[in-house]
Amino acid sequence: MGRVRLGLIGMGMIGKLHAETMSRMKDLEFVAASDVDAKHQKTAEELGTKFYQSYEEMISKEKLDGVVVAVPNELHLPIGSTCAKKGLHLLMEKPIAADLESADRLIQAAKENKVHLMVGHHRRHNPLIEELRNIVRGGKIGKLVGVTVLWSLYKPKDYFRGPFAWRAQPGGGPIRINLIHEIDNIRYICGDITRLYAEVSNEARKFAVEDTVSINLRLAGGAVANIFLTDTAPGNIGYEANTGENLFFYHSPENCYIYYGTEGVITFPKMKKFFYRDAAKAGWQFPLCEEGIKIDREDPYTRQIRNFCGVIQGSETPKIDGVDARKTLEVTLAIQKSGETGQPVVF
Amino acid sequence: MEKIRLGLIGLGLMGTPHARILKKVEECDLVAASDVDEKQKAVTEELGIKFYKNYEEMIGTENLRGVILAVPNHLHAPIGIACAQKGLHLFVEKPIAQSVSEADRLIEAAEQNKVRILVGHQRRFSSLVEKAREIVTGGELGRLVGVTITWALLKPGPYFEGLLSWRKEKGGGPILINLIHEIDNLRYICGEIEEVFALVSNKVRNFPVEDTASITLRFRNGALGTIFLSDCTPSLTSWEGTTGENPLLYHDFGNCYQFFGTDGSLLFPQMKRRYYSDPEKVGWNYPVTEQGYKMVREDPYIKEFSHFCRVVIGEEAPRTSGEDGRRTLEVTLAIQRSGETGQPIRL
Repeated sequence: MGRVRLGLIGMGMIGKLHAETMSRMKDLEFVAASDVDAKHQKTAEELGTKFYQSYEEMISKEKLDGVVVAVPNELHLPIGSTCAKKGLHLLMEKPIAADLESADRLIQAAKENKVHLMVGHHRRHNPLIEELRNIVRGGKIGKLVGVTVLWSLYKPKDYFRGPFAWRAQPGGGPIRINLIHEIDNIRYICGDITRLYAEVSNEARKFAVEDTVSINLRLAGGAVANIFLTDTAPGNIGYEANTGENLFFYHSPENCYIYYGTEGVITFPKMKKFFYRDAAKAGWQFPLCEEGIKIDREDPYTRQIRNFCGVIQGSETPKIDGVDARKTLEVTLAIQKSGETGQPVVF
Repeated sequence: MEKIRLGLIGLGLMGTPHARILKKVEECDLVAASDVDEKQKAVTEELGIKFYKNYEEMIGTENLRGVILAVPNHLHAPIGIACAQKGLHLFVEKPIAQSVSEADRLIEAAEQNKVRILVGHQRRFSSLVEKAREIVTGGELGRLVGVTITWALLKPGPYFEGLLSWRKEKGGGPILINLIHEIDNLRYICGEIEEVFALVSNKVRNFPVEDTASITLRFRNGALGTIFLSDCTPSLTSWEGTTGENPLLYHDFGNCYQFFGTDGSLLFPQMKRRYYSDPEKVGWNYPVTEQGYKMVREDPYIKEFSHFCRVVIGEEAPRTSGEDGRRTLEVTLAIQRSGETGQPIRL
């Protein structure tokens, strides 16, 4: 098989990032991109790829192996299904779909048409996350006891204005938009979530959507996890700002996660391990040892597209398939529900 | 000011250091101490005060104005009530009593006999906590949206052995023994707590008592609190591991609490406030400014006992009244119950 031929549907903020990534990659052919808004033609030209205003025209005219779909959530199902019917493999931006029923139908469409469905939870492709997963699953901090996740990034006023007024409405808030990434990370690193509870608040901004959330999770292995999330406090703590993965966010060298095990503690993304070296001197009256972990940085978006190409060529399995991504969406929606009903949710 | 004549009941783990500290407090004159165990007489000889085996004899003989109660929790109410009936003002070690109903009886007895209660939550006298309260209640962070607390450390094996094996049983664990301090701090700094939820686990030590918990709080002012609590992980992220206020335990200079408000966040106990200094440059794409606070370290116990003397003579209202101590106990017990029932509890 020659170079994989890919198309892109949707050239918004994340679509453009995919376009730039694909145009840089030598091991694939970025054949064409489409967007309903003709203004994106310029970007396509700059990146040396063909532009279509109609994605349907693109997928019927061009001979593609797969498409990257980065359109608004409610269009994931209709556009994804249409592409699947044309036999195109799918890399759908996260979330997999707007709701669980749509996710099921999309998974079904991919299955019926024998195409792969991969979902763009790009953080799974970050070497930092992969290493953290290896540490936790490899027992390098003993048995996992608990996890704390902090996300405190201040959304500026413009974030909610003009065409983005939907972000102040239910469904447009930090649970659906931002927290879903944290949930996927926890699931990828630790495994399934069995029980959860959430308290939400909109007291600060007084929008219809939440601005602050506190979450408790129980994990399949018996450990627990906490998440505190707010988009209305100056903190500069959060995956986006701390990993430096997306330099739109001011890069602050802080820790946003701490993984606690019986034999060690790992801070993320600083990737420092804390432990007692001498079992006879283990306990709160003794000093701790600190050890760094070497990680080679690599752009997760590039690795994600590479994985997609490998999946299409049959040499790799998707790092996150439709069923897995549906589960992440299910947990995220359950958090929203728990916040509304005030009741825990059991899986 | 005339020195206040005080007596101390119970010369155990808390009472003995209290006796030593009381001798350093200018406002009072510790004249006698009692303990059912005659061995403790040595402490009183060292300090040059009288020893009684029977506390009733002590309060009947000595002309005291107040007593320090440092006896096992289940004796707080009966001994406290007996002292109140003699017209003695009460300093009661935390928790105020072993149950909310016993706390009520003690408070009622104090009211009937016109004596005042100060509950020994000494952290309220930590200059760090006083400053944090001033910053939060003074509005320096804007509107408080949330607080995160981590109390994660490793209790060494001997902590649970021999005479201390009750610490493996229900009620002897980190919620009732340790978390109660965090709860009292939070109530003092952030205000009243009106709802709690907890996921607890004993999967690491497999003792009947919990070793780990993930907790959510809702404050009356709308702020949310997230707590991670574990006594079985090699970590210094705890009050003890960061403040250095317990000289027996190792600490470095990390943070155990973080307060989040609409205008800033506060790292505790590093006492650094983060905020956006330029109103034109507010949001996740801008750096935060960090401001420190000059702190003076003082011994919280000396401050607390001096305060008790002023409470006895009616010069000051108790910083932690009986009602306050009762509420802290009520919230802590509710967290324990939520962990058992799996349901949120409104207070």
